[in-house]
Amino acid sequence: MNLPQDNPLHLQTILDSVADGVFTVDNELRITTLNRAAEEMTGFNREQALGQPCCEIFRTNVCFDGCPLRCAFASGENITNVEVDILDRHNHEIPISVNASVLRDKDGNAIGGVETFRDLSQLRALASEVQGHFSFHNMISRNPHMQQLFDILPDIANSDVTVLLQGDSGTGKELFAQALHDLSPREEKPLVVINCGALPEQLLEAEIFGVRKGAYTGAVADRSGRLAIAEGGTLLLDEIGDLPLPLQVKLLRMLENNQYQALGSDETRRADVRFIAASHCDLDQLVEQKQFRQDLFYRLNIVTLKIPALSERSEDIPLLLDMALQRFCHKYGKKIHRFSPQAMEQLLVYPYEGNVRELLNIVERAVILCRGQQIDLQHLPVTTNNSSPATRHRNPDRHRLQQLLLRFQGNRQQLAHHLGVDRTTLWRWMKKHQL
Amino acid sequence: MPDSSSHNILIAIPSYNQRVSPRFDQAREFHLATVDLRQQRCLQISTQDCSQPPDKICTWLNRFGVHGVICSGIHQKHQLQLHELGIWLTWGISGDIKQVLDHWLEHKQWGTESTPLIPDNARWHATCNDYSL
Repeated sequence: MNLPQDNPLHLQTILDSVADGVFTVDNELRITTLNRAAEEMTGFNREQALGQPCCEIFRTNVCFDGCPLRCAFASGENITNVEVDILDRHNHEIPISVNASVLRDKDGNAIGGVETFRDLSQLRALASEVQGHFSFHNMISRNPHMQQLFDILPDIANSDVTVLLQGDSGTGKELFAQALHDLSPREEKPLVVINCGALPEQLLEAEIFGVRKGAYTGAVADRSGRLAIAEGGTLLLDEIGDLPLPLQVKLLRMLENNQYQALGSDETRRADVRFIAASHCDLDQLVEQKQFRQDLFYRLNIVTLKIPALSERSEDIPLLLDMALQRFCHKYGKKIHRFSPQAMEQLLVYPYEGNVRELLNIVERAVILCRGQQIDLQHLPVTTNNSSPATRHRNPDRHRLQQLLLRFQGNRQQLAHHLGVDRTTLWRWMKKHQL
Repeated sequence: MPDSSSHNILIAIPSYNQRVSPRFDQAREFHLATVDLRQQRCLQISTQDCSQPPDKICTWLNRFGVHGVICSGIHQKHQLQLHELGIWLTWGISGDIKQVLDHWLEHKQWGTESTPLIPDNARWHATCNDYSL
């Protein structure tokens, strides 16, 4: 009996009816068959493509370094779901997912290969739209608390009120300050940052308020302070909790009547500056310990934005990993498409005590070290491997379980594995918490 | 090295196995051809290994004094980079390097007068692929 696929004409019709791109090559990787979807995706028609080296028609970013067909020939195995980019005839880059297999004759000898591929443009566009939906002024989060902060930030920015940003190191306080400045009527003027913990008292005073020539040994000329540089704009006083007590008095005066004196000067100056203060410590406690003036605390504490640590918004980790991967691929000119499942699992359970900054550092390091298309375990620092099952949360409460479900995007198998329990135990916990 | 004579120009072609590389940004080797426009002949061809990341290739070529690039596929961002560096570009060419150069010398209206606009190059893409050099 003659089967349709035995007739070359029918075979071409069958291939043309497939929505995915399909092409075959001989042992020298010259194209022998090409379906209609492949013609549409590459922009080359059959006449132009047949007989040509496949790399000259498909023009992927891996043709000379990780070609799926070459890998299939070398290993004899099927290669599945490799994400690559092709450059079509009009030089548009199209992301595709590729499968490749060896074609053999009846004796098992390789006579060529077949590659099928699917256009990922729409999926990528959708992913980017989702990311756009959760992003706000260089920050990204799907966490309800962060979304609430994003929501009120424009209103706060529009007022001239002093803002206190509280959050652990690496949570992105400076990004919030930048967003407050960018969204304010002062955006055309400078945002000036000073770290109050970085300098000794006298130098810090000179740095903030300016210095008159001869005020101290080494003050050889008049010099403007950060206040004067920030005129009309915003001054971010980072690590305000480290501000020495005598300077707290001077700052309080400045905040109350906008007047100040440069170090060693009797001249009173006026400043038109919006203040943002940031601290990783709890100023309440510093007030109790008499290390921070209560009146200054009340003056600063008009609007306080508490930025959650990454451990409190673990559902953001996948988003942040994607964002970081894109950012550093762009920075270093690399084409890394994803994290391997093992690397992703390790990154999802890592505690990130250094918060977003630590996550960014880990991904940047991995991108620099990675030569292929996916980040594997060997590209991650050894420290990320320390989150062993023993350190993981057992029998978590409802909130924790909810967060974990979000982090693992509802994948119960992965979550159960992460918690070191079987799926039934996880199901029992979810039932108990009515999740 | 580029020739100081105004009739000589240096053309860069991304290559593999003596053929035009399918993608400019993936090329690990470039053929650099010094061409005498008046005599319509190629004076010298050399090859340079390229280990530059994709976004640095254009400036790397510029350091050699390259006047023009002939290539197959090239991302639009690299087209713009070449344009900004004043390097003319003809894309959409595939085939054997020597044949491509001979063909170019014969029909050298490909952008030697001035930096061509990107859309103008598109027609050469069609033409050259039809010729299938």
